[in-house]
Amino acid sequence: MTRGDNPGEKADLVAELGKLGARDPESARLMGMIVALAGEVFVLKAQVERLTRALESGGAVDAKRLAAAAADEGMVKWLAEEEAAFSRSLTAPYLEPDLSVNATRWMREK
Amino acid sequence: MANEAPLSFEATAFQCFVRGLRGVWRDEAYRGAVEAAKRAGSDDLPEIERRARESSAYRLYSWLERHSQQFKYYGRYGVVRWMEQRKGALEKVLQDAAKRHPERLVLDPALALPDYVEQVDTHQHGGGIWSDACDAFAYETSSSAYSFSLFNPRSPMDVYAAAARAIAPQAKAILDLGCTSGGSTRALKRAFPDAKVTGIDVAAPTMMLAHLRTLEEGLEIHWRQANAENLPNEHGSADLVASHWLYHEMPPAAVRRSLREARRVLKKGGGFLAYDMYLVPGGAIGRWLQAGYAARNNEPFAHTYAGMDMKAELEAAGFTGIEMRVAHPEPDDAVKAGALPEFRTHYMTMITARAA
Repeated sequence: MTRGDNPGEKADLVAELGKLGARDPESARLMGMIVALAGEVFVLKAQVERLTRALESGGAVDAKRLAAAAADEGMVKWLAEEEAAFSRSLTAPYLEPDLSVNATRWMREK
Repeated sequence: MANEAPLSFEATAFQCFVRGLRGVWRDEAYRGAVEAAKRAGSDDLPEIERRARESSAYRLYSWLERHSQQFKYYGRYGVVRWMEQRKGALEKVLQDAAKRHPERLVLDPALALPDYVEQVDTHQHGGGIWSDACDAFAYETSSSAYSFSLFNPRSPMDVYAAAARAIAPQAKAILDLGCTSGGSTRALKRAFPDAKVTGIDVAAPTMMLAHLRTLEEGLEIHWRQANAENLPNEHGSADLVASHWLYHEMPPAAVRRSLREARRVLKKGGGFLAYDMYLVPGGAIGRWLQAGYAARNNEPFAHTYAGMDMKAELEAAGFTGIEMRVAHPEPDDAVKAGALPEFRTHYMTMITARAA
């Protein structure tokens, strides 16, 4: 077990680490979008799994009922609302890729 | 423990997804980053950083280290966002709790928060854990759901309390510095049921939440909003001054002031206990990983604390009998011999001493 107590070593290291995502900002943004999208997909999968289990247990699902639900006014309204919320959520990490302050200047405290 | 703001099904599912990302960070990405660092063939940390950047595994590791935390708190299903939608109700819960046994909860609205608390956004929690009720509940939810202790069967709180019993078995007056929402303080109270245990923190919302949780458990603990650098306690009034994950959140100058304050309020021969990230396994690569964690998770003082000579600092502050060891998780033989662990984890160091 050791301690990182070389002041000269720290100075350069902090400068390197302080760049955070600045070396490849486009990739960082795109990665954020991909992960946000993947998160939505995960939530969706969980919802579908939950719903399927519930409907199957009640014997409530068949093709006719699904078609009727797709045409339902409430479903159409949901789609309109969701398209806006979904798009904002998806693109937010690109527009604002790093929400936190860069606190690495504090690593030079003596 | 009541759950005043249970996450929705969707938010819970999303947090499962983020935990999965954290698992990749902890395992595959970590091991790839370590291999990249080894290929650098250097003990110079900036050189390790520059060379490791060429590795996709390290780029993924560092991206996940910073941004998975942001997904945890923010975004559509983030814990902070969830709590913000329930701000009024959560504030009322804390205000109502504060009316019960108010003599046990002493807040100081005039207390100025240190700049290193206000400006860092510790853990990338915007506004920190000190701003309002939402932040206190968000901190509690996220720390319990994501703690490294989830991967270890022995609770770090139990390890902490056992160490306190070892250093000061007869303690009657105990201070728990930097107690946040009071989990460590409650562990001390359970270990010392006859002692007067006081939790101290600069943040009012987390103290109020600590008070609430303690009432729920039926314990009698006192809470005092104060700065560990300037304690309100009398000289020589405490048998034990303990802290759990505190000093890695303070710059060195503040740590030094806190050590002097701990010595001032301790009786001669009283026990000092600090449980925190200090000793770092794995040589240069271990220190590089720790520095990266400090930078990317907005815990800059995890870097400066690891660089302090705590034995010398404690001696200068008036302590003797100083001992330090890695206490949690228990390192295996390979790690003890200097190897890096198989997966990314924080090794907690137990530092104990006595007031000279």
